[in-house]
Amino acid sequence: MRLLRLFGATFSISLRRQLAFRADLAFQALTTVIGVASGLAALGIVYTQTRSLGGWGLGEAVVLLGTYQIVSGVLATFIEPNVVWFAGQVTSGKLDDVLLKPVPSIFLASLGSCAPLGLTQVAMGLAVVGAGLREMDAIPRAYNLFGWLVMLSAGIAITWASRVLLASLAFWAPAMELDVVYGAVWQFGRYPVSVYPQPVRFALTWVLPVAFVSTLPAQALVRGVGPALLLLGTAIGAASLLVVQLVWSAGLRRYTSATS
Amino acid sequence: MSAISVRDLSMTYRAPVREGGLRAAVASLVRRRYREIRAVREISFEVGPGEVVGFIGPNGAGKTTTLKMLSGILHPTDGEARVLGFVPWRREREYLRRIAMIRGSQPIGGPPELTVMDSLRFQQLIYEVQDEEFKRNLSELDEMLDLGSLLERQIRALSLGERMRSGLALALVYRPRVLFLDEPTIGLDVSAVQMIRSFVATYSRETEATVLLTSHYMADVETLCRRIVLIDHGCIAYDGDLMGLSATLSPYKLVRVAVSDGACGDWSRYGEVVESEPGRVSLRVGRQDVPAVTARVLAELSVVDLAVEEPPLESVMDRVYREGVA
Ligand SMILES: Nc1ncnc2c1ncn2[C@@H]1O[C@H](COP(=O)(O)OP(=O)(O)OP(=O)(O)O)[C@@H](O)[C@H]1O
Ligand SMILES: [Mg+2]
Repeated sequence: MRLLRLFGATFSISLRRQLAFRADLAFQALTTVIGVASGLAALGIVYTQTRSLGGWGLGEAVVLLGTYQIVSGVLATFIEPNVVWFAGQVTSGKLDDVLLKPVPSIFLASLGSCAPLGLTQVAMGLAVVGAGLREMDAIPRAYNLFGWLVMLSAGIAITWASRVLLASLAFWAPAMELDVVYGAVWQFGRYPVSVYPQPVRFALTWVLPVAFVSTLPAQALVRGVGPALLLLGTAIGAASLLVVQLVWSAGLRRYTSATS
Repeated sequence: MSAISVRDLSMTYRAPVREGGLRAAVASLVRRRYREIRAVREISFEVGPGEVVGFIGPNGAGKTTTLKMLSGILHPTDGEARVLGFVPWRREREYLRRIAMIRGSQPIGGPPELTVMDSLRFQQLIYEVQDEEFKRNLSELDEMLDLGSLLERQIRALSLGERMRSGLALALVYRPRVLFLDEPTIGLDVSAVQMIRSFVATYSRETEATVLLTSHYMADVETLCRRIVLIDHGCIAYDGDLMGLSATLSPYKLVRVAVSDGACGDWSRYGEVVESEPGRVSLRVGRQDVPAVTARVLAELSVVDLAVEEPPLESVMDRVYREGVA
């Protein structure tokens, strides 16, 4: 509850800050539109050649792309603005301030500031999901919608956890810049994992769980999801939160601040 | 019960050794070498509730490191500490709400685009300060720190002194019970220093907060602290009365003499001349010789004024820092 209010406060602070730059606003909206349009165009081209991609029809693939955009938007809005500076904070001792606050440090360090304009991407994602459903000519059943929301939440939890996990490696190796790798792996989420050949598909599901970010939620929406998978998604989401918390605490023990 | 209790606390940093030159750089890829820096070595001390203690020592003695451990930022490599009954580095919420660590070198963390007032509001939220209490505390702080015109300004546009005043307000608006002040007066002008000193004194008196203060300005320590803990090379070298320190550490006293006739002759018969001008002199005299020397001076010269003083703390500390505690 208190964390929610805090979250609201940081959001409003960041929003005020971002709104001060109107040019940014326009630019951000433009990049989002271009990103989504190019994603849709790519799908359009692929589907002139084939009617199904890894078993996914055009409408389904569009729903997946929209879901991917939503999670990407959340990542860009709430997570990235914090973790990009993280290694620098560890080496420069800026993390001290975070540690002095009576708020879970992982929360302040990973969600303490945000880029509200990234929400345009979430909005676009929602629109794309809607467009996909229209293309399929389907109105999702309430249960499918529920499954989508649950899997989406699990996907967002996994996204946050994996991103923070990667950032907290800075406690061990501050010079390692894995952001680019993360971004590259992240791109795999645009398409259903079933288009990838087996070893890759397995890796994208269980090792770098990109499948949980877009494929599984989208699947839940367009085809429904069994209770087993629903439970599994929830369990993995929860487990990832736990794991990142443990790694974070272990990392903090190694934190040596900086002089002065 | 003590407010702060420290037992055998140690902190060893492990810093990678980087030698110059390409060859060394390549070699370090294969095998990293580390150097251990024993910043704090098994220190122990206690601070009672409401006490204001000066924690002093030369550069690199381990003061900041100790304060960081006590405020929960660093995990010590060894030893124990309790502050208000909490183990600092567990960083329990109830603990962090009761303490503040303020550093003169970076008085304010957090986003610099915010105004001071916005930051204060944010502190209120984080530290769960009730509205009424917040207003009351803020108006008190405003009075003592003269915040008025600062509140609506952005933090990034504040000068060092303004930053320090705002930083104190930010840290004290939630009324911490224990303050760790790390060189709070560094780089401030005379009046700002005065303001901060009297502010700390008033705060600790009115709220009965416990204060552990480091500073390289002995005047800070002299005005604020009755007791000091001296740390040197990571070890406690002295813990006790401020007055007792110079008595213990400096084997000399200062004897100031003024004579009427201006005839001084050879002052060095009485002791080592520290400064002299016609008719006046300051002599450094061994503690046990003071009675004999003053008697001789009074007997042999026509003395107008004579005073025996402890040497200034600055010069005592200088000797201690350079030569160690005997
Ligand atoms: N993060 C760190 N990594 C490695 N060594 C450190 C670190 N912080 C401090 N040290 C070393 O530990 C020792 C004690 O440093 P510390 O900052 O505690 O000294 P200090 O008493 O506060 O000195 P000063 O009066 O100069 O502020 C120094 O030798 C310093 O170089
Ligand atoms: Mg220091």
